[in-house]
Amino acid sequence: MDNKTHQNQPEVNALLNSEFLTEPTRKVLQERFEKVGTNRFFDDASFSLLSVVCDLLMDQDSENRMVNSAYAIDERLLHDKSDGWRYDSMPPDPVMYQLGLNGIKETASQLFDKKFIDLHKEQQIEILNAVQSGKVKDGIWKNLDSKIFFEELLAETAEIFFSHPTVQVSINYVGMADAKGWTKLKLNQSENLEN
Amino acid sequence: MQEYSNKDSVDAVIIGTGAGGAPIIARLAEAGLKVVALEAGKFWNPKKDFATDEREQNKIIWNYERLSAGDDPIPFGKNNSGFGVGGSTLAYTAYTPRPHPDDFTINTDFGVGKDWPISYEDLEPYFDELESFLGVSGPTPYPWGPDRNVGYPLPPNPINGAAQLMEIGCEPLNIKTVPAANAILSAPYHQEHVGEREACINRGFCQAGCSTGAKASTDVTFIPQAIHFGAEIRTECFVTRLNTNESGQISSVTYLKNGQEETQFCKTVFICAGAIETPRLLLMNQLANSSGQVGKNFMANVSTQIWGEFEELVHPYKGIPASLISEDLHRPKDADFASGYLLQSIGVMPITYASQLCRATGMWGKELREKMAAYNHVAGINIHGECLPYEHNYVELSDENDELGLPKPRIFFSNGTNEKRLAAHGEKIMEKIWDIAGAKNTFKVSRNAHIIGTCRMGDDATEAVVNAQGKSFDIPNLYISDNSLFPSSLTVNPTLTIMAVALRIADKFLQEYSTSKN
Ligand SMILES: Cc1cc2nc3c(=O)[nH]c(=O)nc-3n(C[C@H](O)[C@H](O)[C@H](O)COP(=O)(O)OP(=O)(O)OC[C@H]3O[C@@H](n4cnc5c(N)ncnc54)[C@H](O)[C@@H]3O)c2cc1C
Ligand code: SF4
Repeated sequence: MDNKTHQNQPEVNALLNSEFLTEPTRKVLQERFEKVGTNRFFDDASFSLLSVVCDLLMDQDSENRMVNSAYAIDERLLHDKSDGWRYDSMPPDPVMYQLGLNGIKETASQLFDKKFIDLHKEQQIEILNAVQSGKVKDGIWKNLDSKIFFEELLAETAEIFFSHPTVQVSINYVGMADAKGWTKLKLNQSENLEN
Repeated sequence: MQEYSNKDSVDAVIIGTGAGGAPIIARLAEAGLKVVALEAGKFWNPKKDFATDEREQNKIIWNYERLSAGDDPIPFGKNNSGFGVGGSTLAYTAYTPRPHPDDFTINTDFGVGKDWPISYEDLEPYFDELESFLGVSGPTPYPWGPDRNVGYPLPPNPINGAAQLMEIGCEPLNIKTVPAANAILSAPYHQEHVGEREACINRGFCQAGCSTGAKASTDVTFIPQAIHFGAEIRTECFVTRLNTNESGQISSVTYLKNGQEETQFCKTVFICAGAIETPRLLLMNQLANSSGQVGKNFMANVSTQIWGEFEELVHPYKGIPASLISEDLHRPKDADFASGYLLQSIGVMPITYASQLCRATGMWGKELREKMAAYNHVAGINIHGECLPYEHNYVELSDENDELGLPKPRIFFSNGTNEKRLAAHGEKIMEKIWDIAGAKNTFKVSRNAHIIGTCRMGDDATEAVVNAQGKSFDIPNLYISDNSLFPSSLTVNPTLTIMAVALRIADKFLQEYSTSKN
């Protein structure tokens, strides 16, 4: 993960170090917090592309980035780790990702005659919308269902993103701080930790 | 723990330690048999190994790749199948309603699907026993189904935010609700040979490993009991082969442990690997399939969810996720479909929510971030309904291998007209309930949950894989006990029934066993 200091970092640190986390929970979250990745599965060009796409999907940019999901995707594909299933109509995940990213590259050069990462944000969004809605049909997309590729990429990116403590605290999720359990279950009731 | 030698021909090998396997391991060990359980996953220590973190919990999930085909491909993995001692009960939310007597006679009543070769009455003593053994917390008296011989041993757990909203929505519609029966302790509980289990502290993390042991997964209930009575639980053993002797009976079971093959000799085998792995193992070994029914009739309960945002603070991570129930729609009067469903409220952890949101709505970018910012105001409601068995839904072996060199299973699943109508009926009612409760920005997640069927039990050897005692029609010392032997899907969550059927299979086996000894 990119180890950028985010504005809520003091709050996150305080929570992670508090007595409200069990030791196993603290260990897992701290490791995730501190982990800095490298790309080993994708080459640099594909990895940069994937990083930009992940940023767009999670509405962040290199300035305000909380988590770059691309690292965890890279690591999973490097070890060819499955998440238990895939659409029968799709190739294995490592192949699907490579093809899908190449498809995005192709579409960018077809539509705008430029590299995806050099396009304006609006143009990049236009391409991703076309991939998501299945409007792209040429080249690689002839053999790869762009809608399903997009769904898989989006779900994985989001799962990684929202599992980061910085992001979790930003949506006021403090469920990891459950060492003492919860007692205030009524609607509109909050424990001391919750706001 | 007792350990047996591979050469020792033990009385029984049980493959899998989930809902269908663990009760048999315990029962047979208690009767004094030499029992070895072979489990592909690890034996976790809940306190040390279970962090409250969804991503970390992927380790308790069956992650060997399955290929999902058909019009409504099933997402396996998370929210579907568990891995380790406890099997999918590691990940179940322990919602344990009893089935209804007419769940077993759907063909007699509606002319579709399959009747069971056993009845509610056959299983009733086991439901009584299980609720007491597991420490089910629930309301007594219970408003639906036949009168009970005994009430629930513990009062219901407190209900969460989603449940309170569902109550608000159901009342004006005259839909009766009660706090659900969950195999989750509302007070500390002591069972002989199991020990003391702590009460639930409302951490809402039940869709993953419960670190307190309040949730009655089999690793903290039947398995400790089985070990007490001398069973060996051999972990990280992935069974690949069932070996037969000249007379066609199973003589031994071969498994992979640390990449090496080992073989355990045995007198009887119980396959309890779940509704995908059980038929996969039989198909790989080309066994017990004279009926041609192995892998057929795959079912998955209709489980549509409606999510909404509420003005109230809900904190969907607090309290048992599924803490309210209504069974008023078990047989809806205005139904244009066979059978029916139950209604339940659901809380949710953030990653599960985000993932479902992305897949169901396609939301991303700014829209997704804004939607996720409302997470603390989110509540869900869902149905669990009948799924009929169809010829077009089945498990087969693909020609693609997994990391162990075994063929990946391919699973075809498409909802039929009955499922679509049932889902539409449920959606309408859930939308009304959520509307009354004040939901905004609702969205629907169409899904099918629980993996059922694929090795059904029956009285007719040409139509079923095993008989009513779970015994193969082809191989007399081969038994199946898990979700695969359900002839129909039931209108309730399966686990209590899987366990009841398992105990019955064990008792019938022991009766035969003692007769043959004398
Ligand atoms: C997130 C989630 C929530 C759920 N919630 C509920 C609920 O609230 N109520 C309810 O009733 N049900 C619920 N369920 C469903 C319930 O958990 C399952 O229906 C039930 O556990 C199935 O039992 P089984 O014995 O068929 O299989 P499992 O419990 O899956 O057991 C199969 C075991 O076999 C092992 N195995 C498989 N293949 C091999 C092999 N080749 N060699 C060795 N071992 C092998 C597996 O590792 C596993 O331990 C839920 C499931 C999930 C995933
Ligand atoms: S809510 Fe209760 S049963 Fe569920 S995981 Fe937490 S302690 Fe266990």
